[in-house]
Amino acid sequence: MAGDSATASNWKILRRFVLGLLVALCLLLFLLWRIDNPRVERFRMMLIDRFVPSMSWVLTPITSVSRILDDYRSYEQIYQQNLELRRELQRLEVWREAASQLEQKNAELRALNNLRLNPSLAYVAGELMADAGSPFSQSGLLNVGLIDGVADGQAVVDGRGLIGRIAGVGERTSRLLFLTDSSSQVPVTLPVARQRAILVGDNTANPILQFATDPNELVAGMRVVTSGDGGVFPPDLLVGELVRSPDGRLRVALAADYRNAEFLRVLRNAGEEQILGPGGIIGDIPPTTAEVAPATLPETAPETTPEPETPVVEDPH
Amino acid sequence: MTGWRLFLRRALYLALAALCITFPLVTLDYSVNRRLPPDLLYALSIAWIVRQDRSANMPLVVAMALLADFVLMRPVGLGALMLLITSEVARNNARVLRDYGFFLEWIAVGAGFVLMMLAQNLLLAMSLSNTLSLASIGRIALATFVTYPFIVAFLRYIIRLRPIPGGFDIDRLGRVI
Repeated sequence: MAGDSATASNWKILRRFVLGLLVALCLLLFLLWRIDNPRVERFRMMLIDRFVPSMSWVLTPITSVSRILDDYRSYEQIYQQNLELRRELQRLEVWREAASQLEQKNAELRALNNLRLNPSLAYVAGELMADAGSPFSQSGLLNVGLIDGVADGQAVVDGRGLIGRIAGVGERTSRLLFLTDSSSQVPVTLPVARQRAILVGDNTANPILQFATDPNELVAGMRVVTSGDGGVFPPDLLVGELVRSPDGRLRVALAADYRNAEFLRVLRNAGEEQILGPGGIIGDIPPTTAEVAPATLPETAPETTPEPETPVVEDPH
Repeated sequence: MTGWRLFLRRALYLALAALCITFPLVTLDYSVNRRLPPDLLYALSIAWIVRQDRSANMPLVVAMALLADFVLMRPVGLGALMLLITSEVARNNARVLRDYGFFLEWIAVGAGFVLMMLAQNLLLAMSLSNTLSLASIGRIALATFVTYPFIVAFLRYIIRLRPIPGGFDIDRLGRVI
């Protein structure tokens, strides 16, 4: 009896000790995460890269069953959908004609201007396979990673528009941070108003448009596209349409379809060539001042600053 | 015999916890206003501890909670700390929760979850990181509350979890139960 209670009290002390140790460990990890975030996030990505594919035998059947259920539900309204689609098709027929004519005209004008377009974007398509699983971040998991050439910061689009960017890459998975996440900030332009702004996510469905040049001139319904400032995103990706929320703030109704996101494209931006510093002197290097005849100086001077041949990338700041 | 059974139970807990971490990853809707998943790991761990204290011990719970923190994009370490403390409270009161019947247990688990989330928000605010909105806490708490009876029924009728005879359980005052 006495031995029993002695064991019990030893046991209790050991438990206390282990509890304290574990609490300290958790607190330490939390502090580490707050202080040295990038390293911990890299470790997180590595862990996800291991864990999630190994659980895909659970993920895949559940996902496909729920997709089948979704499809079945849509069968019930198939007649209505059919009618709607036919009507839409009629309307689109007109637009297609207009678009093809415009395309032709565009090509002609470009040929006339001898315009150089952006280097065409290479892309890799991936499937969005998992959610963040908690409300702390608005993000998803893509099934393409380092071995597919995905890198941090690359833009991801669905069929309609920009959906987010890559934030965290593993060997064969990568994390896609949505535009709606509160840590997402994207430089955009409004081509109609010729204004630049920053699109700031705030964990709501419609991110806020901040730092517009003249917010009073902006009208709901204007198209918002990426500006390419900062060199992270390629320019002119459709982001969405401007809306004004009831409290008067400017927000953007995103073009990307977050409800049915499945197959997405990661744009592997080849990166534009940066021009650093002024151009060099063309021609022979002028002789040193002692040997230069005063008369030759004015002739060489204008040639020392040649115009760069490729358009300079504008610095956003 | 008991040792072997205990080992099996632990393995079973680990497998179920891994499933609980995976389920929230499944979604077809990535919009902000999607249905938030319940905290299945919390529900499973508490239900398990109340029913069979010894097989879901502290290190196992912390290990799985840490894994959940990493995989589910939660603040690393914080979720584990919260689950550890809440589960220890539940462990110390397991006997009371068992004796007073399921309804009280259900209420206590729901209230415990809300308290846990509020404490977590407090720590997050103190460390100047993003906190969860009260609305999303409410939505997760409701989902967890609704899911809890199903998890208990699963543990009771399918896994047939009950206290292991032999060995000893310790109550709050360190007495052998």
